[in-house]
Amino acid sequence: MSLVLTNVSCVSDRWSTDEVWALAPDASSHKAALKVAKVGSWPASGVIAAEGGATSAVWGECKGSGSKPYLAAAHLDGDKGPAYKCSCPSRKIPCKHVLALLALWSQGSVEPAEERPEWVAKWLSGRQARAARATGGSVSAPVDPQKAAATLKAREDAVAVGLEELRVWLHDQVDAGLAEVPRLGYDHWDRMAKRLVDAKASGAASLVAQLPQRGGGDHWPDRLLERLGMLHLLVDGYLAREQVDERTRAVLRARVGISTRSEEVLTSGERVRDTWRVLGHNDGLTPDGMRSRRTWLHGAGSGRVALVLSYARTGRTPESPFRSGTEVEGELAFHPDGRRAVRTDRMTERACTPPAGGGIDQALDSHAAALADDPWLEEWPVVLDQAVAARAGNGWYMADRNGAALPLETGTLWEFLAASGGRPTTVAAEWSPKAGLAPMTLWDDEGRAIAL
Amino acid sequence: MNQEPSTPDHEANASDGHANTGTDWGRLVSTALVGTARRTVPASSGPPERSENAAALLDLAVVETVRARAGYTAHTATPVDPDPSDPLPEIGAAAAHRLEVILADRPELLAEWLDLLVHSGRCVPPSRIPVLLDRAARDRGLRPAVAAAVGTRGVWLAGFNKPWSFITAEPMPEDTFDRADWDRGTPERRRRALSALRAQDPAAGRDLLLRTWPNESRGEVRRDLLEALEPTLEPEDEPLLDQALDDGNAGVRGRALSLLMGLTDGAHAHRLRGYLRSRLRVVPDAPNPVHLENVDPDDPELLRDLALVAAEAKSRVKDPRPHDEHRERHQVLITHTPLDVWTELLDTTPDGVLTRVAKDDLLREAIIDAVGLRGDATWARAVLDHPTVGSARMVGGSVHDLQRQRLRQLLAPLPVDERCERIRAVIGRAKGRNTLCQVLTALATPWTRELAADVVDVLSRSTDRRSPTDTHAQRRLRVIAAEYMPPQHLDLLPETSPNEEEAHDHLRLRDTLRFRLDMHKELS
Repeated sequence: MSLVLTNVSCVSDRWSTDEVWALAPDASSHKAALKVAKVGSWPASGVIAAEGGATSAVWGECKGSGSKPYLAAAHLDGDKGPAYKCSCPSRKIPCKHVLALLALWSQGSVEPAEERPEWVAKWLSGRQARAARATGGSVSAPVDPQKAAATLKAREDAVAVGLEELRVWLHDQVDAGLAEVPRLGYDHWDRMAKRLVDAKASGAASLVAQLPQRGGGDHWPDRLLERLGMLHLLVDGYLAREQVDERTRAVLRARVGISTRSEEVLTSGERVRDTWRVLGHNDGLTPDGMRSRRTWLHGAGSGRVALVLSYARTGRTPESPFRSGTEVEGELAFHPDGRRAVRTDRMTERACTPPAGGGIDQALDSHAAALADDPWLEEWPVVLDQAVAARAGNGWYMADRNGAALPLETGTLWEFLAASGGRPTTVAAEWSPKAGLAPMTLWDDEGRAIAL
Repeated sequence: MNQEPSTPDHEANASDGHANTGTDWGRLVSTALVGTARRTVPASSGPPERSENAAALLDLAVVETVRARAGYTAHTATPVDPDPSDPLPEIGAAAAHRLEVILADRPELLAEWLDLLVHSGRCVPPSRIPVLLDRAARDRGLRPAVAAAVGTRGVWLAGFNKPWSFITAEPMPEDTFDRADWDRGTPERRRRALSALRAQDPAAGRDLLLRTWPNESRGEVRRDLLEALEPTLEPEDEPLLDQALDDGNAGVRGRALSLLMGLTDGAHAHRLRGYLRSRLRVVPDAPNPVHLENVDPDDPELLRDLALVAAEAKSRVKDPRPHDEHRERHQVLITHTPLDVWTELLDTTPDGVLTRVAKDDLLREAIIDAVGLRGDATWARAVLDHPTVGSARMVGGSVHDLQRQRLRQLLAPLPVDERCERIRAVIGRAKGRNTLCQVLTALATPWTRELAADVVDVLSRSTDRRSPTDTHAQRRLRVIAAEYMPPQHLDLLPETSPNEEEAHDHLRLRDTLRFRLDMHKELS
């Protein structure tokens, strides 16, 4: 096993071709890129090495249909993750040329080059300058902390007006009784949701919009009452925000929909340096139809759990800021809620051994503890060791070595079962009491990570 | 989601937790349904008192909800029996990635890729097994290759998902007979057990089947079990097959008849020869020197031997065309009788037989069908070489005249090189590219380098009239080339297209061949 790992770490800098294709914004660009991914199409190309020998950037000139070649480049160790550039007219990011170039690079078909064309040098230095401005931002354009606090206060107050209305509305619903709900039209919830959008409380708005429409299936009264209760807790909590601690207040702000921009998080957010293990990712849909990807990290030293979100339009694949099953050394910048995080400057990535896991009870305990900080939490990452697929009745479960089990979310059931062969493995999964346990990554007998 | 979808978080799990909280969730729900304006909120010792009833109810509801989520307790479940076998070595990362691309964008190459994989002796990454099983569930033709590609892990996995049970029926070379499978297994497993035993000891397999034959109550099971005899068919199987000719199920009778065709020295074959001899009249100098007298449609022995519906079972009144019935019986008799009856009776070569029946549509067609069905190389060559019925004649006609299926059957028993040479010899005669496409599809084998060069030559010749049909046929020809041209002959194709309009199709063909070339390299 150690031998295998040594091998892996030798090439860990270069991405696998799979990881390159994972960047493709859609199936057609993948297909198009395959056609361009031939050495013959790239008369000039090169790899620019960073200090320590890792790849900093890849560039290439691709023969196109016109007289001018397309100039494509990828900056891989940038502060905010990879960045791509191409002179072709495509609006896709990355375009087929960049994808093809990276695919060739992943197969070892792009050689290191001392010389770099002017356009590459210019682009990279421009990016470095911008990055320097961003990190040194507080120096060049100092944010007035008082002014920032006042802006936030104004926003909080605006949202509070909307939530006051929501409070009254919630009470009205419960006073009048929920029995009539199945006979109400779709716009019954929507009117309130729109009102909350106007009040800039988009988070609360989508919670209202997601209330079971027209009753919505079996046991709808239970579902509806649960959700109304959670909304009630959010309203009451938010309206009492002056009396709670800073972190709870930040959680409340995030849940009602007062978000913090990534730039702000990068300049003034809490920074935690650690060895972050990338547990895996799971995709979902936002209420407005965007695709979202939740990537979960776990700090080996700090024990912190970090959530990195990325989004893409419908039909596109959101980018993966980190690769499942690796570990990254460096700083994450946290949102005020202490959970959501943003990738910062150079983080070095390497293959790693399976993360330490626990049993089902430990997983449930960690979830309960997380709910204490944020009761609106929908998913929570857990790492189980010696986990094995199990059955009870017609249902599928994941059992630990003591026989304790959680129901499986069946989306990746067959892949999980096939990859594990029914033997105990280390599994990183998302736990949701509602949807079940969704495996994200498992580590096979040789310690290799398999993303599901 | 596995948890019963109708159960809310609460009750699915922490129902025992509720007993301790002092709050009855059911009462909270019923109060909420009626409305707090009309019903009082259940008393509780939990949250502080509220002046508004609604707020008090929601307080209790949210405490219960969060308590249920945070207090979720583990279930118990029984771990599955793990896959006991050791998986085959896995393919490399490049090949694994290629599989992804094929699954996403080039499904037409999947069969070829799987064949290469099976020959390489390796298997797919286990997490890809489910998607391959899904494909094979939809496409029967992929099943043998998928069965080999997914290995024992795939069979183990399929045990959990009924739509994949077909995989357990695919016989594998390393199978050994498992008595328990035969006695108690699913029909698929029983058939596989029988195949395994037949491969080891054909006689033992036959005895096994003979013993249970009277008790096999389902027709399709009997048919499938007969099928398991085919790979190791031997003369001693005849009594069992003969018995199956009396089966009540038409599928079983048909299967038995086609297996009996393989036993050319058996009693059944001799009976068919006898029927045919007794009805053939040879008049050497007549324009049609061979004549077949009408078969008695009521001869029960004959009907039985041809697996046709017994006369008494079929209402003859309903068949208004006795003439067609005669023809059909003649055809069936001729196609199933060993061909040596003709050479003996007419005392000539296969070629001589064909010449003598050339003008009799029924005889000629039935004999050629028999050749195709039997896959006899000598006879196939005689047909293909024959000046009036042979391949030159077939290819020279319009596309409607070309019987692609027949051509394919006649070519199939010949060695690949010979097949390709035969097609090369007639390429020039093909009337239009459409016919050429048909001919090349009938060939159904990877091309020799010489044939590939000829087709590339046709492709590079620009046609004078650019009719839409022509353009379409040209495109189709490239599609066929992309499928059948061995990718190592890629160098035969010029870098660029001979003309601008076809540049895209040309690049596509090159691209596919290059893709296949990489595929072969990765799995060699």
